[in-house]
Amino acid sequence: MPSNYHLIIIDVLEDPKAAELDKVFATPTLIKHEPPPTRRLIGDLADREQVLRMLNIDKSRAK
Amino acid sequence: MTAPTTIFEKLETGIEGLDQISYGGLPKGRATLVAGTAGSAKTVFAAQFIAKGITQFNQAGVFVTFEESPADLRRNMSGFNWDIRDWEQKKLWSFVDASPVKDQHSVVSGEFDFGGLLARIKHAIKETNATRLSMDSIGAVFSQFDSAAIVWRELFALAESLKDMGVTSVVTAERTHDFGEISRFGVEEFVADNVILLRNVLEEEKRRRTIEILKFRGTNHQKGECPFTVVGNEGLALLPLSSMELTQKSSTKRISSGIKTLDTMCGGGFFQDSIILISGATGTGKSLTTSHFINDGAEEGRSIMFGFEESRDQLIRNASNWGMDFAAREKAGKLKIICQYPEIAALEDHLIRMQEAIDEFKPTRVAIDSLSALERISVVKNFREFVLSLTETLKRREIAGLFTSTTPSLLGGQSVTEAHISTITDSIILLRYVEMFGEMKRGLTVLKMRGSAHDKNIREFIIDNNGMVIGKPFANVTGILSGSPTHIREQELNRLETIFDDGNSRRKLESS
Repeated sequence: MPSNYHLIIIDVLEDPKAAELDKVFATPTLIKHEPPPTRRLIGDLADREQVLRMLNIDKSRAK
Repeated sequence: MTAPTTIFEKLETGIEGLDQISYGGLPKGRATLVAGTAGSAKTVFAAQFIAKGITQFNQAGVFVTFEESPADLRRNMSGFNWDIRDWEQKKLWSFVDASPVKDQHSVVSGEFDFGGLLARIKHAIKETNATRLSMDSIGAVFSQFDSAAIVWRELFALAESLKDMGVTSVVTAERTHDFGEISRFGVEEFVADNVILLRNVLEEEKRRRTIEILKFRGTNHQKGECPFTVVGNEGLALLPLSSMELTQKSSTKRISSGIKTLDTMCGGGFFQDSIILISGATGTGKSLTTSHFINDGAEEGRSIMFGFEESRDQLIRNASNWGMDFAAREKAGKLKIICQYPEIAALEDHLIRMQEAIDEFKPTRVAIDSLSALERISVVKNFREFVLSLTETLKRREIAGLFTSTTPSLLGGQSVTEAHISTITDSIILLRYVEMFGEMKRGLTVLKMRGSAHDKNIREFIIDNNGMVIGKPFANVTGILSGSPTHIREQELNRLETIFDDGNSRRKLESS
């Protein structure tokens, strides 16, 4: 996967305000802001295929 | 009656009546489940718990919402005069918005916990130094996540950590029915210590709201359902009955009924703190007796008249026909006439309004014309509770109360109203039509006068431009109260009197 992505990791225990603003309920939660539409992925991302489908990443290009 | 002492401390809620039935409030530092069907005022309860903390005890609170957005809540609750936005700015109220995120599709993949939510709740409590916490409504969490098993486990963990946060909390949960299982998804399992049920039951076509403390682990509370109503500027207002204390002082001070002869018949007037019931068919003079009573009350003190049958104008016009100037009395601030159709509100709402009017105007006398009109809009149990509450309100403030009740039949008979309230009234006066020689006359008798001797005759009265004029007892008539008066001729009466007085029976008695 190419490195043209921007990822912010927030520890809810350290920054609960950010969690409030983003309305993070369950942890871990991955929020995809760009490209739209915004999507939320809840859980430990155990199902690789589901995660890729969700992020709209072509399976063949993912490593 | 005093509340039993308990080892568990309680937190006064400030919700009217709740602290009474719970013997001092909700168990302190613990969670209480408030379960009810849709529309049973759960959210109002949850918000009121925080609002009362702020306004009455200067305690901050955190509101965790799983269903409605904070924006909706701020708007919906403004009807109760709770300025949530203002409290938020003063850091007295803090929202944790756990309502479903709109327009954002979310997918669950793998394991998760409620760490995010927990961190936010802890943060909000710390930031506001909160004493109270409300969660509304917990069942909605299940609809946000597919995996009921994980939600279950996580809610359990949440409930556990709530205990360590030192806040007193209210957790609301949805019920599918007003009777039966406590809540959907068995939520009560993890906040099982304390359960309050809110009901909104349709009974004989009338909505009836009740609150019941099902259990408070390790501490005492009142058992059974207690009626409540939701009122503006307040929220839930409970009307506890069994907490009523029978310690009302008994006054020996007499007051005038406004009719001299009636005072004499009552042995010198009504007692200041008594409840008087006037019963009679339509047109027998109930409104007249009421008018005399409140007019006299406005002489030295102040009177409130609650009319449920006639309009203000009608009442004022009638009174003026009897030589009483109600309009002038009102202008002087001695009298207040409040007329309403019984049907415009539920009985509980009427009661709250009446109590408000009484507390505001501080009258020495209150009259209600008529109780029967109010009875039309309620079920029997409700009505009895209403009368009890009202009586208690009046007695506690040492206000003389006069209620009227309409009998269904023109001659004789007893009204349903009477059957329910006669035992709690101190005096009962009956007004009856008496048919004599093809003429309708009106009769009056004092049936009951608690704590005093009274005239037991049935007297005739007429109505002239000075109101009621009571005359002599009906002579030689029997059966007035049963509705079939019979005139007895003089000779016959004499014979009746001597019937046990013949020489034979006396000799027999003497010899035995």
